[in-house]
Amino acid sequence: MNEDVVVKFVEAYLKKKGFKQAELSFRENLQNNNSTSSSSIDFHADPELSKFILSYSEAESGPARYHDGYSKLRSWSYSSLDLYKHELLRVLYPVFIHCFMDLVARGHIQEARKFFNTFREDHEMMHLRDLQRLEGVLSPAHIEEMEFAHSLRHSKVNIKICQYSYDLLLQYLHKTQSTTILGIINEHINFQVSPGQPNSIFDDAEAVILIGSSQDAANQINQKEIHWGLLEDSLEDRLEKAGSFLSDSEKTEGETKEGDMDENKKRAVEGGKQGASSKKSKKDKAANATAKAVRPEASTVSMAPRVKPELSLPVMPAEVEQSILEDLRNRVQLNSVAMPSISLYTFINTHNGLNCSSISHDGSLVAGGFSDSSLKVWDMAKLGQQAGGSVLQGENDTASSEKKLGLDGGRRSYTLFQGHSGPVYSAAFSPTGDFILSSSADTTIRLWSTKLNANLVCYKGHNYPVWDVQFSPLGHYFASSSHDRSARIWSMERIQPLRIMAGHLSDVDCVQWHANCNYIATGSSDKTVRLWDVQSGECVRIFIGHRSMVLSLAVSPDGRYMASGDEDGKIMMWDLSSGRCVTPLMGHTSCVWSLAFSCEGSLLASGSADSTVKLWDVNTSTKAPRTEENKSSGNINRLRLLKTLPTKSTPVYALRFSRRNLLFAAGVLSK
Amino acid sequence: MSIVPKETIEVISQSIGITNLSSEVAGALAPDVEYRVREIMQEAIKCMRHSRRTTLTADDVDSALKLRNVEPIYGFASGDPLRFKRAAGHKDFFYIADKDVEFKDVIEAPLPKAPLDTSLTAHWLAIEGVQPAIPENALVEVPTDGKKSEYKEDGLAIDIKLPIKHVLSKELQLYFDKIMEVTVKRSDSVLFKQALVSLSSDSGLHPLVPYFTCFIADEVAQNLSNFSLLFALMRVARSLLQNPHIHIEPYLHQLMPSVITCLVAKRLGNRFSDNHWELRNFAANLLALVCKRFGHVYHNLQSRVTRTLLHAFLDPTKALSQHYGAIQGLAALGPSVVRLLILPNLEPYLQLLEPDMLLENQKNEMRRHEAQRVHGALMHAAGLCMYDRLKAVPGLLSLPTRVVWKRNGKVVTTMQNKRKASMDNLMQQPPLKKLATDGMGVTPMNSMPVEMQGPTAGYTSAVGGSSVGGTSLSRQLPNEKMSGREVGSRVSKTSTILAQAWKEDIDAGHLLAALFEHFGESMFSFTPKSESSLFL
Repeated sequence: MNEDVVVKFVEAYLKKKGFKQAELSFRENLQNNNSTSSSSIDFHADPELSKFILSYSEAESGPARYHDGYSKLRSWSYSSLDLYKHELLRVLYPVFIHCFMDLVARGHIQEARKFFNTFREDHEMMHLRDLQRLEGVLSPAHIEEMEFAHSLRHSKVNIKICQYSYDLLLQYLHKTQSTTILGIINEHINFQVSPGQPNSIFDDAEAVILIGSSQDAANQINQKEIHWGLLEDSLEDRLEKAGSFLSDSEKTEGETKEGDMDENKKRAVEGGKQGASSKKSKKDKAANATAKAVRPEASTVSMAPRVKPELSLPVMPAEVEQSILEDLRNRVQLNSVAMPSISLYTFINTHNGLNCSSISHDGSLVAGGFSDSSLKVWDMAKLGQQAGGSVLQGENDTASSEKKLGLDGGRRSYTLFQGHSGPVYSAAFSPTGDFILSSSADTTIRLWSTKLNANLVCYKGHNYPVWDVQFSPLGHYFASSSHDRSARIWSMERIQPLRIMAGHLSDVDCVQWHANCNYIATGSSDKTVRLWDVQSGECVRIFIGHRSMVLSLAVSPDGRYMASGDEDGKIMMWDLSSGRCVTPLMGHTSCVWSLAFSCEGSLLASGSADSTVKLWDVNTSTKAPRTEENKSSGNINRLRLLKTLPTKSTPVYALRFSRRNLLFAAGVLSK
Repeated sequence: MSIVPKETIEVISQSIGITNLSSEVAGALAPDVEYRVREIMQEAIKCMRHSRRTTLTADDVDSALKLRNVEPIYGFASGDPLRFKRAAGHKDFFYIADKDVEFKDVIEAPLPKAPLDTSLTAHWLAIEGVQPAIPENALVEVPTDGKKSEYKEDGLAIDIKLPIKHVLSKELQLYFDKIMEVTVKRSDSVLFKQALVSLSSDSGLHPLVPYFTCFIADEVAQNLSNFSLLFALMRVARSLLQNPHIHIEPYLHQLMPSVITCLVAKRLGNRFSDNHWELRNFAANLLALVCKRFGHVYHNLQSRVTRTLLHAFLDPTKALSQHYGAIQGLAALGPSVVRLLILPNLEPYLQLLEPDMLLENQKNEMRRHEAQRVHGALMHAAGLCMYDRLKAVPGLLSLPTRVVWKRNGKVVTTMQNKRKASMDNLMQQPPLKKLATDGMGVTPMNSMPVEMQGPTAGYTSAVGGSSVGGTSLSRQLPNEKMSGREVGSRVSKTSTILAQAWKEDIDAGHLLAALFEHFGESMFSFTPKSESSLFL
């Protein structure tokens, strides 16, 4: 580069910035230098500097260079070889949003808008929600204020790319001297260059997801060890035991029960001590799974490894246990050939007021939370008798003891629970059906008794509307999630939360317990699902892959898999131990409101706003990796859609498999 | 640049009493306003999702505002759509029209009906993975699937209520009463149309079918003078027939007389303005639909129908409107029926009809009009028949004479002959008799009145049996010279079977010519394009 040119640049720069003094001294210096005729800086030897100067000269043209630079890069990558194209196209999105934000940050609002609207179509399919949020950013102040934009600015995107594509890209950038783009790429993209062939298109679910926290942190979290196995000595175990001594089952039952009582007491004492320390000492229980899987058993659930509970768990009353065992004995085995019967509960005349609904474990009670702050509970057994139908009789006998309708039952078909002062967003039945929890926009959670038809406790702790509340699989404990971005663990007997799980970057929209009660999963508007250790309150997994708000969660009965459904109708199956997506399930066209695994984990049911219930075969995928655990690379086995059951015009709000594997669905008739 | 224009900010500032807002301030505020509005809408969408809805309401926006600790905007809670009105004198300035309501009116207004209380119903969405075809469930798209589940349901119903007399659910009873009421009283309303759609598509109506057929039969019998009711009933019948979920065959015998009544009754409706022709057309189509759908199940269905219609057609004592109905009915059953039953009788019938059509002879306007109608129907039927023939034998006119086709014509012809022989009342009329008896000979050639007729034929002597190397007919004038005599001599040499096949083709030719004679130029509209050009 000619030295004179450089001198001119420097002069122009100083003049433009108004550094009069500096300019003068620079000139003096220059003259001195000329007199000594020796250049103090070797421009040619320092490409970085020349690049900087170059970029400065380009800056003269102002915001247009972003537009030009990006459109050139875009046309180049679209015309590149098909083999590498999809990898190169991945680079475009981060470059696009950072170009846009750079423009905004520099105050070129108009140009930023134009730029955004010109190229937004390219990314709409993949990143519609993000684009909608970014669209409103119209001033530098907004970038600072808006968390999403802020976190984008301050974190790097990870892109996996093969060596050759990477070289191609660098070559292109150098050749065209598009330093603006190069700068953006350097600043905001972290390339993970891998040797060899470019990876397949389907492999990149998380390749270009932009999240607030850095990907590294997420990866690090996902390294943590978790014990996804089931609780030791679960009812299913006992059933098997009882089954082996079928002749004198009564006796054995009694014995095991007594043994349990003692054990539970012991556990309650030790509860505090057990926890983080004991967890460390344990080996990954998944290793045991293969060993145990040798046992020839029909039930997939029983193959899961066993873990010790970290919480002190409630003691189950004997008669309840008896009825549950009875149910387990009578359970229908479901698989891709033997599909469940589905009973659909339809709410009518809700006048658009129903926000949520929930079905008790035996399907006999149905609760609806309304936007007029009320909670209504229907006793289907009673309703059924009135209508003369004996539809639910089979299920009813199990829970007949706890069904007494209130004083006002004569006039109304339901029991009305009033107490909240804002729309009720969620309701949950305890496993025995004695209690209902409801959460509301008034920031409280209330506990109701279905026996007394009264409000027992009001739990205050959240500062914003509580979106979701769920009882733990064994009752007593429950988890809540809120607009205040936290999820909390409570026990029924305390009005203060026991744990607060903080970490999500946006509302926590849904919460679900792991089958062994040691973990909870939360889904959030930040498009991630997280798994938290209940005992320590730590985040142990981050699942990245959804493209919109996560609305529903379900954990498989063997505790190994989790399904999550989002606003776009996509369902993702996650392997908890690896933290990776097994496979996405596409099919719904609108929000997936509810998910449920069948009791032995072979079927997944999903209910959606598109007025359908879909049944998915999840056995094909979950069984195979277990036998060849080490070889499985994740998504060889695609889960498949078994059946779509359209309702007439009823978006399905809630799903529940009863213990006997009858599927209940609930929704509101909407026209 | 932002969606909110500066002017909006100015207008808002004026509305809250700030008159001297500088334009820079407005310009700076505009993007910020847009940003805030977007923020609030995003929160509102969250609230919407948590209310399990897919449409945003004013309530959602209110709760989003509450989340931000902003006072909600009151006054938009009602579910009615807001009516914006343009402010006079401004191009794009709108306000919400708030109607003044007299307080007195509000107080004195009768209480509105109390809204129905929320309730819960249960039904089976699926039984072991199969959706039962009950009214609560959505329609199953695949027809075979629907059939299967229907059978299943039938079986189920039998299982449950074995010895009980047929029991109708309350809903079905209500439904039936409603449909009856709508059909009888308000058959021109939108509701009736919806009822028809429901009848033609709902899956759970099977228990009602006997009631509907009975209802239709009774009403038709009692209300022959009520035109609109008859039409409505026919529509109901059609909807029922169209419903793929209904097993209607066992009730057809009840339904058919009503339909045929609507087709060939002497008087339908009591007013001059009633367009009973239309009703007859409708009934004819309905009849054709039934015959097509159930003809193979009910083997004597079509023959019974045609016999009834033919009786009506051939009885000169019957009214012209009845003739019309019979012709339409026969025509709707297909061209072959027309060819076999109408065409042979065409000539004498037209002779009969002619005096009524002429202005001089028939002074009764009404009668003349009817006659013209019947003539039109005949022409239509014959024309369609001919069209069909020409289509089926595309080379009839265009191919060179020596081309040989394979056709299997024997069966039809013999049947035709038998049928003719069996119909004794045809015999009264001499030309018919001739047609019926001349099946074997060359005579039709000579009796053909049209000189255009120049049939030529190419036989392949190698063919035998029933697959006859048929004849090709041409009426191209150049071929006329290959005279009928030559053909005739050949015919006499070949077997009688061949002769019969031959005769059938001659019939086709005859048909064309005869039709031309009877209807003249108007027949051209029924000939397929390419052929008609050759024809001319």
